[in-house]
Amino acid sequence: MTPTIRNLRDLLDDMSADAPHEHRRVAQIERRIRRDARRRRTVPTILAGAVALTAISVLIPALLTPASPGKPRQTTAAHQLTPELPPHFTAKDGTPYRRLTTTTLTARSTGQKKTSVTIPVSGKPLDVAGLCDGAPGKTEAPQIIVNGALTSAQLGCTRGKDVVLAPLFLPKGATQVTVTFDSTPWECGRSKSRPCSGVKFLRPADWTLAVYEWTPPARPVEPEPIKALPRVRGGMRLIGEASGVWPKDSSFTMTITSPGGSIGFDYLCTGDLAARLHISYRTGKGDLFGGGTCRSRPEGLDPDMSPSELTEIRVPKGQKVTISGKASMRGEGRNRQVRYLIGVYGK
Amino acid sequence: MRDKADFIAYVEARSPRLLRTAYLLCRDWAQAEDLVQTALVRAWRAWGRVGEHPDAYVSRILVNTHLSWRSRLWWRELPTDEPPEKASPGDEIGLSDERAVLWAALGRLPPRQRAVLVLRFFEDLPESAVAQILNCSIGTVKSQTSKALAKLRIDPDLLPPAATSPVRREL
Repeated sequence: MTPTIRNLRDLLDDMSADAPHEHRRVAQIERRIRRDARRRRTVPTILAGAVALTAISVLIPALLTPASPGKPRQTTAAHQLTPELPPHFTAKDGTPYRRLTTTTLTARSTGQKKTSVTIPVSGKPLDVAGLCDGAPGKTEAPQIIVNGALTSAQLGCTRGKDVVLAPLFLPKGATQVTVTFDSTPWECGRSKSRPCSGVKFLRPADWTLAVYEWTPPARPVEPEPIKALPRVRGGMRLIGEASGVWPKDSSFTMTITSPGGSIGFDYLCTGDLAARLHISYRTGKGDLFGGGTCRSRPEGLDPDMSPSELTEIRVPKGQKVTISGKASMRGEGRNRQVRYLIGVYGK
Repeated sequence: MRDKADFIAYVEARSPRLLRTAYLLCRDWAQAEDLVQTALVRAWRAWGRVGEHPDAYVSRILVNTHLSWRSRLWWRELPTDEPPEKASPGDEIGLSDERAVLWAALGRLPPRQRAVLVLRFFEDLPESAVAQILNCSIGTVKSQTSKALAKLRIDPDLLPPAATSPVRREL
C-alpha cells in the first residue's frame, strides 16, 4: 500500500461520511443544559443557606441565558468531581454496553448517603458502574442493595482511572428492580456498642453511578494468551501449574510433589471479566484449601515478589499431592471467556 | 450578546460536521454523539463570550473533552483493530482492504496525534488554528503531525513486503 496525504484526507472524509442523523439532538442538548444547570446550582444553594434562597431567584433566569462576558461561572463541587458516565461504550472484547440509568451520590459534598434508581429488567445481564473522587483504598464505597436485599457486588474507588464495573445480581423473575446505593459505613449503628460517632470510617466521596445493560457477544470471545509464570518467584520454585478457559474448563487438577511447609499460589487471567473469576482449590484430603479472585496482569508476574497467596502444606516433603479446584464466575459471563493460569510455588 | 436562538441555529448548522470530527477522534458513533452534545452543553455555558466565530472554541472543547475522556474513562474504548469496511463489489484491487488497514493504523496512534491529523487533514485547519485548539505551540503541532505521519509510515501493517516505496515518502 502506498498511502499519501491525499489517501489520508479521502479516508477521513469517507469514514465519517455515514454519520447517523440524530433528529432529537437539539432537544437532547436542551435537556442536558437544563440538567447541567440544576446540578450547577445545587451546592451554592446548600452552602449559602438563606442567602442562596434569594440568589436562586436570580440564578434561575440567569441559567436560561448564556453567561455574560467576564461573569464568574457558577460551578459546584458535585459537578466538577462527578463526570458523567457514557451512555454507550464497547468493552475491549466487543461487548456493547448501554446505560439504563444514572445517578449521583454526594456523600462528601452534601452528606447524601443513599440514592435509589428503579430500572426495568429485560433479561440481559446488568452491571453497575461507579466513578468517585476519593482516594483508592481510603474511600467508603456504596453497598449495592437490590429490592431491599444487600448483594455482594462491590464497587471500588479508582480516582481518575478506570470506570469500575460490578455485576448486578437480580432476583429471579424480576421485571423491574430498585437498586439502592448506600454508602453508610458498614459498621455504623449495627450494634449498640458501636454507635456511628464511635466508628472510624473510611472517607466519604462523591460518586457518579450508573446501571448498564450489556449484550452478550454472539460467539464466545477468545481471551488473550497469558504470559508464562516465572520459574522462580520470591525465592520459591514453580512446582505445578494448571490452566484453562472458563467456562469450558471450570475445574482443574494438578499433581505436585509436596515441598513440605510453605507453598504459594498465584492466579493470572485474561479476558474482560477476568476480575470476576473466582478460583478455589483444595488438596485431595482437604488439608489445604483456599482461593481468591483472579487478576489480569498483561506484564506477567514480578519474579522478585513472593507469591500472592502463601500457605502451609502438611503433606510430608516428597509425597505426591493432587490439587483440584474450580473456576467460577461472579455474575453473568455468557460468551465472555476468561483464560486462567494457576501457579503453585514451593521452597 | 449571542442568545439562545443563535446557539440553536449554530447547533443545527454545525453539529453534523462536529459529529464527523468527533467520530474520527473516538471512532464510535454513539460516543461521538455524546461527545458532541457534551461539548455543546459546555459551549453554551460560555456562549455569551465566545464571539462571532465559535467554531474554534467549540472544537477546542470537543478535542479536550475527548482527550480527558480518553485518559479518564475510555480504557474500554475499542480503538478498532477490526477493519471497519467490507470490500465493496467494485473493489477488485483490494482498495477497501488497504483503507481498512490505514484506518486501523490511525486507530493505533496516540489520541493527541490522531487529533492533530483530524484537525489538519479533515478539518483542514492551519497549524496556527490547531495550536490554538490544542493549547500548544505551532512547533508542537508540526512535530506531532510529523510524528503521527512517521508512525503511519512505519506501521507494520502498512509496510510493503519490499523496501520503502518512494510514494510512501509523500506521507
